[in-house]
Amino acid sequence: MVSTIREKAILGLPLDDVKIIDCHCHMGDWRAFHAPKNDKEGMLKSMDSLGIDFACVTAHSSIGPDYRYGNDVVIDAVTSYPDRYFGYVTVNPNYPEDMQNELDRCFAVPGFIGIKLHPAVHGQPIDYKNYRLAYETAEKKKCPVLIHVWGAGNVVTVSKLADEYPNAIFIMGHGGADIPGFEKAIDVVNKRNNVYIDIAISNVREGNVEWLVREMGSKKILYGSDMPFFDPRPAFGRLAFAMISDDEKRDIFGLNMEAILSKQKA
Amino acid sequence: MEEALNFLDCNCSFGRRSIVEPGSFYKIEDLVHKMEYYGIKRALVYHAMAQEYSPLVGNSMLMEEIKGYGQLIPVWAVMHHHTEEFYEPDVLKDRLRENGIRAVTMFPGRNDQGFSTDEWNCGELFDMLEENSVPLIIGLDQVGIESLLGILKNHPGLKVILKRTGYSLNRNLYGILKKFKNLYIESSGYKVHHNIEEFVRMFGAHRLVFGSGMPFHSGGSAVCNINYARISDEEKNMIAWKNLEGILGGVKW
Repeated sequence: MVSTIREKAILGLPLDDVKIIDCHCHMGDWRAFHAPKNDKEGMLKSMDSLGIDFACVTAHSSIGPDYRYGNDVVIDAVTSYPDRYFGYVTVNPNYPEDMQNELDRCFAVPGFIGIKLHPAVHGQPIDYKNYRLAYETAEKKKCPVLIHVWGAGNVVTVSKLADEYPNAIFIMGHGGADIPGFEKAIDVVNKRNNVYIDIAISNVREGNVEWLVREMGSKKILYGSDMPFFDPRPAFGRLAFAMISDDEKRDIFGLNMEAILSKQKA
Repeated sequence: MEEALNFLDCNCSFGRRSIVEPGSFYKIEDLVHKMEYYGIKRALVYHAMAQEYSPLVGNSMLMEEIKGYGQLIPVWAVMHHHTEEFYEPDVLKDRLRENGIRAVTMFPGRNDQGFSTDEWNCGELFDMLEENSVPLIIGLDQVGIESLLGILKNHPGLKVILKRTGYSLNRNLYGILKKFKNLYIESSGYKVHHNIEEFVRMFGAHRLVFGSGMPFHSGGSAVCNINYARISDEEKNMIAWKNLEGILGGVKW
């Protein structure tokens, strides 16, 4: 009798009875390396084999050179597959004159649920003045802002913004990325109601999910894979096989993100 | 799949090391427990001290500590003999045979044992491994692409299992795989989107070898990479254990 998440994963069965929302996905080409099958159909194949219900996407182009081109890729995905994709509006602080227009343009499309910022690629700090409009928009909409957060310094910056914008939901992409970053993230998340981490990272450390759950519980951690930057199976596998309860796995796989999206609707 | 795969892992270690990250482990009993939990039946293991201190000391500790663990298969760390810190190749050959060692690894990276793997330094060592069909398991972070190419080119009979290939190597890796048939890729370190499916389509399942990277990397991630691959069950079995078993079976002792 196959009943637990681990037992299904041993047999490679999709987790059809588990709500899975991948909160950290991209789409399209990336300049620095070959990422096969990176379009909406290729990603659906990956999702279907694991049982991922929804992927929240920002296009690689958006976090790179052309936010409008990338946001159009996401518009196409959420309109083509409204029951599989959610979209993040991605803005680039180096084009402040167009930010309001781009936020309005994308949020007018059903399926856009939040904002994505990649300060590292766009060459500005997380608290850069030109990001203010994005944070103010998230505050008004009570929507998530997914930010590329790498290292303890980034985590501290997010904590200050989270205090300043208490109705916005801050998702620290990659969870801080290294051990000092994770440790600071644990402290920040435990002291705030509007800060989450995701587990998208290439360095899938043994025992890492278990440690995070021990330190911060299962309610503030989100499943994210970074697909198609990487394949989603490594992030999926370290959660499916984590030595935590199935209820905790369900929280992380999708219930926590579902709750975030429900608040926004309310 | 109707049955779990019988994983044979080419990439495990245990023993005290400089840094043990939160949640990870270092004890041999924890490794064995984790293997069982993830469905990994057998594993090739090296000792952390062979990487972070001395191959001779670490290999010796390995042989002592794995006694009683039939599911663990010893892998020795090797290096060249020029400084007299390690065996000359003909002596090493005898030691490997006497101890039943059927795979070796090495840590020539700058942050580990810091030596060149170029022919002038390691050619005799690789000659011996090649002549006896002993595979070399090595991380890309240890060897680098140019040195790897030298090994593959100068020793076409030496089977090299490359670890830690990451997610950004395809634009170089595909060309190398086409040119050098003695290169195999460890599965867990290869994280490209549709990694397994595209690799099998391009190069065949016989070039992939299962590894987990424990205790550094998640064994759960590693097995899901294969369990959920959209390939045939036979191809999964090849990657999970058959390919490595075949490579080990070719060793001349």
